[in-house]
Amino acid sequence: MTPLSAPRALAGVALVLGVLAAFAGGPGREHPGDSTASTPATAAAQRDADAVTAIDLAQWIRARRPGLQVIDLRAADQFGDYHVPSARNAPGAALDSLRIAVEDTIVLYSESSDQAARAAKLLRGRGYPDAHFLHGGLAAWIEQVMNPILADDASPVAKAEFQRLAELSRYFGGVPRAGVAAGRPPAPATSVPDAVVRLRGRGC
Amino acid sequence: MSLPLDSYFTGGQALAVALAIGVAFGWALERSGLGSARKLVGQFYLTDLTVFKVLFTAIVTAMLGTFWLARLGLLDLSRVYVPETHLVPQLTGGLVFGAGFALAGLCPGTSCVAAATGRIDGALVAIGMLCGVLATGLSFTSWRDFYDSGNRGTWTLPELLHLPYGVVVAGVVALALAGFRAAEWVERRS
Amino acid sequence: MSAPRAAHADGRPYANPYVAGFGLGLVLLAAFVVMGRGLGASGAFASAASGLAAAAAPTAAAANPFFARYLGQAGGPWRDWLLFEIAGVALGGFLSAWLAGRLRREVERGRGVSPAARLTIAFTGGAVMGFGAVLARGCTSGQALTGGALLSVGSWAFMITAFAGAYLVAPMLKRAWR
Repeated sequence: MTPLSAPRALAGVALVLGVLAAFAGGPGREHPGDSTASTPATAAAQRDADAVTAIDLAQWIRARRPGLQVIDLRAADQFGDYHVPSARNAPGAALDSLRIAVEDTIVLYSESSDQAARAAKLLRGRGYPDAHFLHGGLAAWIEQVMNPILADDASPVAKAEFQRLAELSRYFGGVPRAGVAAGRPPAPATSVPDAVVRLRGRGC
Repeated sequence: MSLPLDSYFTGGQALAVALAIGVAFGWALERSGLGSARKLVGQFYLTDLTVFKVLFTAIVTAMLGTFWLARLGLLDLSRVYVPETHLVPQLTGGLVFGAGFALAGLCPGTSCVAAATGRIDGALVAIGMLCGVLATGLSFTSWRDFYDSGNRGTWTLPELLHLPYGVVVAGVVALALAGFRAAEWVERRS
Repeated sequence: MSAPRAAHADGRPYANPYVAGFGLGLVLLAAFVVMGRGLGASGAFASAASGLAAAAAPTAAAANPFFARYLGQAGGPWRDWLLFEIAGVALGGFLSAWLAGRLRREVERGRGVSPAARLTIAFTGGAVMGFGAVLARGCTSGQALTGGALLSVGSWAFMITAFAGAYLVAPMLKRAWR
């Protein structure tokens, strides 16, 4: 019998772990800190609501929600400058060319709510029940996800909430800012190019 | 404390980690002989399939490690960055890259190992790489539309094949082990 | 006549490829677990190229959509994670070769080609890889290795076409490696 060499041992271990993996089921989506709705009731409620907040969308993207399709309705060059991570481009709401399935959770967005809201309504009419639009559009995404602000005089509850939000923001390469002095108007919502500049490089 | 740990690092600490991981990466590449163009091109002439063996052993190792750490609830997969799929640019870019790879005899990472161990051809590959990227960037507007095309976002094999993650993992392991057997046979023949 | 099995440089023999590959896989896994990202190489070259472009022509570089992405990173292009990683790669390669007695200043080539020709081809190959890596958003380290382990469709597509491209071109250079 051939002696057990390191490569053979490795191959044996890989085989065992591989076969077990086939029967192990997938890694659960539930994990510490994940607040994505997972009960049937809340899921249904989410499905009925047309509008989706930027934070919800961010959590869905991060949790790699199955069947999630994020569609950017703006022009191609705007899309190229910056888009919500994982979004696909359908300029002028040219939705026919996109591959979307009826079971998919579709979130449409444009610069603000209007165009996307109309497109979502259109899709629902065409038999896509899980079509939504991003409330507040890309501007809301940049303001709430990419550049969330915590005022100095925030309550402890708000502070705790901000910590979770800051973690989410950093995941997308955002820049959360705490310690904005009370009474001073918050810094103006950053423009898209600024958001691009702050994107954490994720190259290969 | 949950994995990955990146949220615990400052920017400077992350760069120190980068350096440390890089040292281990370069060490492993040199140990396997992939810092030598002469050895590496054996892959393309089917005389020395080290590239295939090292690459796929590494893929299987990291893939199994990732799957099981996630399955055991230790690793938060959603916080691990998965490269997005841009189908046509990656298919085309791959073909072009492969052609360059055969010409150079080294890839970008191994060229740095080669250069660091005294191989002047390695240094030239790295310099050529820099020039190529620079030229591509300077002429970027010509490629931009093509570059942006085919964006499928994050798209994994389990999603493509409509199979559970674990089943795909098992399939890749099986494929790799069969490949290693075949590789040994091919090398013995040459 | 098949190309001779590549001899290792004077010094200790190379490690078993499966063992070395296992080590490499652990390094990749460590990157996932510690940093939430994988390895890479071509991104470092892109950052460096952006930095050089900005040094030469700051406003033009910032207006270039490709360079702008790398220029806009926190800390600028010279504090890119991959740049530090690739510096480590060079250092690690050096240390490994040094300890194994495999350091050697030479132009690695076959008997069928002069050093000058080999260097020219090497540079050209590097440049072509640069173009391909930009389009593909990575190279063997970032796409094949990292994306492969994470089962990304685009990465596997890249891996397959990269090997295909190499096998298509390699026969033309067979004489160079004899």
